[in-house]
Amino acid sequence: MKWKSLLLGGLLMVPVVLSGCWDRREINDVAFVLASGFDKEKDQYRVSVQVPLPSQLGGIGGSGGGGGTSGDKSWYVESMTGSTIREANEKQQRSLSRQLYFAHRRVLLIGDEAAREGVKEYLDILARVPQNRLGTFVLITKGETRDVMNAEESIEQTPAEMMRELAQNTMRKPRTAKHFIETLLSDGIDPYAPAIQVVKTQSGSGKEKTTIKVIGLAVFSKGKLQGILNPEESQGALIAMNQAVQPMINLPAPKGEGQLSILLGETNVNIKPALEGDKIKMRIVVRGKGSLIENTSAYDVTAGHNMEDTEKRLDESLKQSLQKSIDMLRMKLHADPIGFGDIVYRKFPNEWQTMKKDWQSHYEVMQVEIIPEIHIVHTGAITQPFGYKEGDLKQ
Amino acid sequence: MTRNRTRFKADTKQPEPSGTPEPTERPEDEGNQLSKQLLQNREMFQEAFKNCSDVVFREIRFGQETALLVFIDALVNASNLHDNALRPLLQQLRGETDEVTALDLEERVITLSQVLKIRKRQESIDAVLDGNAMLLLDGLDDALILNVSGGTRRGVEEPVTEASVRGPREGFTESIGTNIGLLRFKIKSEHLKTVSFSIGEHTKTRVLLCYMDNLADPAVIEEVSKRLDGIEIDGVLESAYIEEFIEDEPYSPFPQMQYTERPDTVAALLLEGRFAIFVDGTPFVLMAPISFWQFFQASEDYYERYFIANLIRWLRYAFVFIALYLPALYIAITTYHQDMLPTSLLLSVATARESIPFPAIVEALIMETAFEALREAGIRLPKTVGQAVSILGALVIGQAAVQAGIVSAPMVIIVSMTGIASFTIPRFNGAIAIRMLRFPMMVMASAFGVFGIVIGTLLLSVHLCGLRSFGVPYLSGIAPLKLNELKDILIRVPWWKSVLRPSSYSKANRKRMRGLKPSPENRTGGNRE
Repeated sequence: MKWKSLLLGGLLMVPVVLSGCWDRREINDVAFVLASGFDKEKDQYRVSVQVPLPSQLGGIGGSGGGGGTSGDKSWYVESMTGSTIREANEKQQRSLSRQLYFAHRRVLLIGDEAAREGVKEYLDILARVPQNRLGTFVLITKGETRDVMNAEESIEQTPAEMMRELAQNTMRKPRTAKHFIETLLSDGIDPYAPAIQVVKTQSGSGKEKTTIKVIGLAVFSKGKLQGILNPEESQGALIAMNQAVQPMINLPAPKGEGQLSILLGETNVNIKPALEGDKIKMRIVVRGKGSLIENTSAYDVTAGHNMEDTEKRLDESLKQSLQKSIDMLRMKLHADPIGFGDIVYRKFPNEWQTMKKDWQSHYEVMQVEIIPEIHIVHTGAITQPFGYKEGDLKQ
Repeated sequence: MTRNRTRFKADTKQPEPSGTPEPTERPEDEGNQLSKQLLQNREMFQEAFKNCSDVVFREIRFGQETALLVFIDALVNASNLHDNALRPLLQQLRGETDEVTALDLEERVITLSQVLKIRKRQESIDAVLDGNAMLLLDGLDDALILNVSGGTRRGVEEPVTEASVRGPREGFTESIGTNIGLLRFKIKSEHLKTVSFSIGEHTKTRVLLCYMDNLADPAVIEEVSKRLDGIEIDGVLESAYIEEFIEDEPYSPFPQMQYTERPDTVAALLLEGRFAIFVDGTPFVLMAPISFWQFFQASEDYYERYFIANLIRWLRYAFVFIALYLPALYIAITTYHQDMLPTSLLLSVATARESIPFPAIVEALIMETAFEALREAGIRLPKTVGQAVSILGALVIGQAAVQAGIVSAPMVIIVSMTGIASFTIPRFNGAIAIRMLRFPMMVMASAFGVFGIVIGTLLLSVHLCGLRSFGVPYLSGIAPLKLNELKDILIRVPWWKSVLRPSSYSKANRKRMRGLKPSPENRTGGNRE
């Protein structure tokens, strides 16, 4: 009996040494891909990956010597072309001493020219291989992704981190690749993504550094990039999507010069569709709380009826901004990131089946009624504009 | 003319108040008998105690009669002997004219509380070795055994291994008499039974089995008595010897009996229906049956406030998890599952491990082994050197190893966290079981990743579920699930809520008391003296 248990114990140890550790991957044998960029060169895909160099990141006892051409960088970018994305990755692996590991990819960049031709092919490998995380952010770059990825890092350790944080700050609920794929596959709503570009910082005389800047919102239709809205144009769209992060509205002062800046917090947008025969009518109610954060004029908002006047003007300004954004989206860009089609589908599923084939035409003639209900809640720590004596205030 | 002398006569009466029948004498006991002649007896005992220079043979003369007193000086209480045995003997017998029997001596002269009469040689020798004094009289074939045992022993001090902030500071000592006394101070009930055994051929150690006979399971007590009877060993020096003989699974790393130095712990467990084994010569008292969850309970839980005690208990559970799994998890995640770490943490670890020549498992084994060696060395160090070496170990070795690039900084953190976590486990025997088990867990993690950890946990659970401590399942409370006992495992309910005793140990008499939450309505009255 005793030999039996010893034999059993010995047999149990055999798999530990024979079949264990076969896919062991030490941390310093792995190259973590922090960012990937996809471009298209004629019919070849160009894939760029950004890999951090741990020895440069400031470890104790780390060895010196850079991995790229510029001395002290803690990351570097490797770029290769191939007829598929996977082939490009294999070519890259051949020149890398460590295994490429995509599970920590923070951002996925798609060049705008490549995106105009269609983004579907880049998302196939993303959805298929489990190592690719669907929690990455998808960003569109103006220009080649390689240039954006080679921008110099300033606050963060790597440009990939910078891009990720920028993408997170543009929207209230940053949309990940999972959402991108979902909206791409469903009718009635189109995907959207922040758009970034490499710019030079204006830090005065001395060395000029490159940095990354968000230039607007990229909207798609039918899986292809349609256009990039600049920040003013995209603000209305973002508000309608409930994605605007504390949007700010500048109002000129009614008397004299100067501007009032009002910050909208806790915005909540409710879109209700109505069907009149064949025509769709959309009712957009925008509720929010505004706070006056800067007053460069002599206008005293708290005097008399000024508060209500300002609120009315604020509502008007908001209405115009939203109208402008929506018209631009439907007339010029033919894209529907706000998801009006989806809203119609939820309320009128039967009519949607007939409408969805030529949704574009319905979309363009759709009647949009915008009802803002913004109240200015407080003016900060001071009420009257700063620095003016009693008599100088314009009432 | 009658001379003034006392004469000793073998008494014909057989006063045996205990009622146990005398064993019939067998022919081979002939050599074992004491003779009526003092000289023969004296020779017999001097032969037995040849070369034992600490055995004292003292002759006493009464007129023309002699008596012999045999005792071991270091084991007897000399003043007791003089005052209550010798003096009455000499005083009383001076004026006696009649013949005096041993019975007379026992009943009227010697003023000690315990006196026995023995006729057998071996038993008398045993009695002398036990610290008694033996009185031999010419003409008597009885030896009078006088209970004057004394000798210097350690006094009652605070238990060294189980210090506590609040609670009694008495700890058991090496003398079994004192220990039972400490227990009797706490449980003043006639239901507390103490059954005596003598185990060990050469040490003849006195072992006491204590239990409450209205609470404990009679089948368990009978089983324990059977096991104790069956022990055949040269000598018993510590309760651990007994523990190894009577436990259910000697090969398991987990102890099935608990030991303690504190009388209050013993009393608490006896009141739950368990039993305790006292061994003469050691302050550590064994208790059984136990469950796994008792390793995480300290007496202090019951002496501190309810809320605080609960938080600390949960802290202990969390730290047990850390003590067992942290190195294994680190190895598994950094070797196989790098996607489970947040990216910035991963980059920090990668940076730290960049120039380390060893893979994670080797690094972990080096550090853990060094830590165990350090801990073992720390136990043996004299107090004066101990402080310096712990600083040496922690600061210099750890820091220098990291700087030299032999181990990485995260590994040092992991090892120290594990060490601290294993110190939070109140019971030492449970703590070392957990400490030792983390090494196989690390090996499994290095071979199979988190899957290996799961397999290791599965094996451990299977082993624990099948383990029994004197018939009580080791994980009782959780498996088999008894909701009533969960109140003491997961949390510690206040005393006024703990109405029933745990059913695993006491089948009879479950109700401990009427639950009384402190409030004006709940008054019983009747506790006043």
